[in-house]
Amino acid sequence: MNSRNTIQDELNELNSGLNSNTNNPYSVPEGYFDGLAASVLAKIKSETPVSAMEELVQLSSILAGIPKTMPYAVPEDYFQSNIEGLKAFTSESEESLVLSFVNKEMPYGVPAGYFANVPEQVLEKIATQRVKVVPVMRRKWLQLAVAAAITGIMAISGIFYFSDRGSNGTSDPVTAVKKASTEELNDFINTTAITDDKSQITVNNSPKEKKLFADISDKELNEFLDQMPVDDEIDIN
Amino acid sequence: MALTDRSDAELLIQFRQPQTKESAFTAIIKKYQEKLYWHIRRMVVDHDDANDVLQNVFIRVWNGLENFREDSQLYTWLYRIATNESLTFLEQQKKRTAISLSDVETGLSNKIKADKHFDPNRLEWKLQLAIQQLPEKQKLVFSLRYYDEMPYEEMSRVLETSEGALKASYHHAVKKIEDYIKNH
Repeated sequence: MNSRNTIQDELNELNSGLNSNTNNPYSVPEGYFDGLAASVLAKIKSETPVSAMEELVQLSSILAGIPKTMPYAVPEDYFQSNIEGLKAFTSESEESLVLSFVNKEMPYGVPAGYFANVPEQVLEKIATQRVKVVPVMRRKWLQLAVAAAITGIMAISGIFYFSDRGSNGTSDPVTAVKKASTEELNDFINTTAITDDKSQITVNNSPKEKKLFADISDKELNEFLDQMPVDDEIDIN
Repeated sequence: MALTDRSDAELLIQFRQPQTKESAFTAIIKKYQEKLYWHIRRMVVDHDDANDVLQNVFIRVWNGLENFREDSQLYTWLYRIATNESLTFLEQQKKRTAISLSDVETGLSNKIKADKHFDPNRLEWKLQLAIQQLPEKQKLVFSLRYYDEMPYEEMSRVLETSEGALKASYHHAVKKIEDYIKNH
């Protein structure tokens, strides 16, 4: 009341039309302030970290009651290391009344001596990783090899093809003459009349050639021959 | 002082010096191999698979520890690598066999049942089977909280998920597992 009067006096001094006795227009839910302390405490508790076990007890009494023993078997001495006399691991467990009955031993089986070999195996793998040579050119080399093989096959086929043409009755006249013996050449000369009259030159054509020349008259052929130089060495058979 | 008794900070310093790099690395493996192994094995179940993943984890540690920024604990960083490698492994298994995720979970359950020590009457085995019914990420949350009792703050750095989401996920996981155990 005293403070209220002081405030009113202060307002009067300021010639303010405000009245300090005005009621608060805002409403507050019923019982709000009665429950405020409890709700604030509950919120604080929910945000305060609790241990995993305390949390589990709150969440599920069933799960909290199950021993945390892992059902997988662990071979004896699996986690122990003999290398340099070092301990395999350090374990720090927070003991609590709730945890005292909990056994978190993992039930999984692990091969004997497994953990003792892990550092060595890992270092070996790392060393292998370092010297591994990645064959960057392998694919390109393969492509080149395939291309070379195809080219070779084509070349060999070509050789065979053209050599077959050569031995297919259409012999190279120069080679044939060179191969012929002196006696054979003399026989040919003696039995064959050589004349400058080109019309006397008979050509023993193959059926294919006869077909080709079927539409061409002898006169036309002779005119063609007159225009073309005659090579004495050509053996026309 | 034995190398494994040294702090992570000391081990990191040792690792960054060429003459002590290998010995420090060996010490780190010995210090954390068990915790990481079990964390991995709870995800992949099979020992050989866990071994493969664990070795991959330490190879990644060897290659990446030089550039570790120390903005989190070494322990947290190692767990993050182990988690990612486990998830990658399960993803590859899924792709390799062209099966759905639910079939992967079924496959893992079958691996548990195939264990020579498997006893369906024991609660610990039922709990393992119940865990395999959870989605991968929820499985991780449960495993880290239930077995490793990892604080949510640390878990959030490992799984890169908010603490609130992790709490909610863990609470749901506990309920699912409880229901599974009641019904089986």
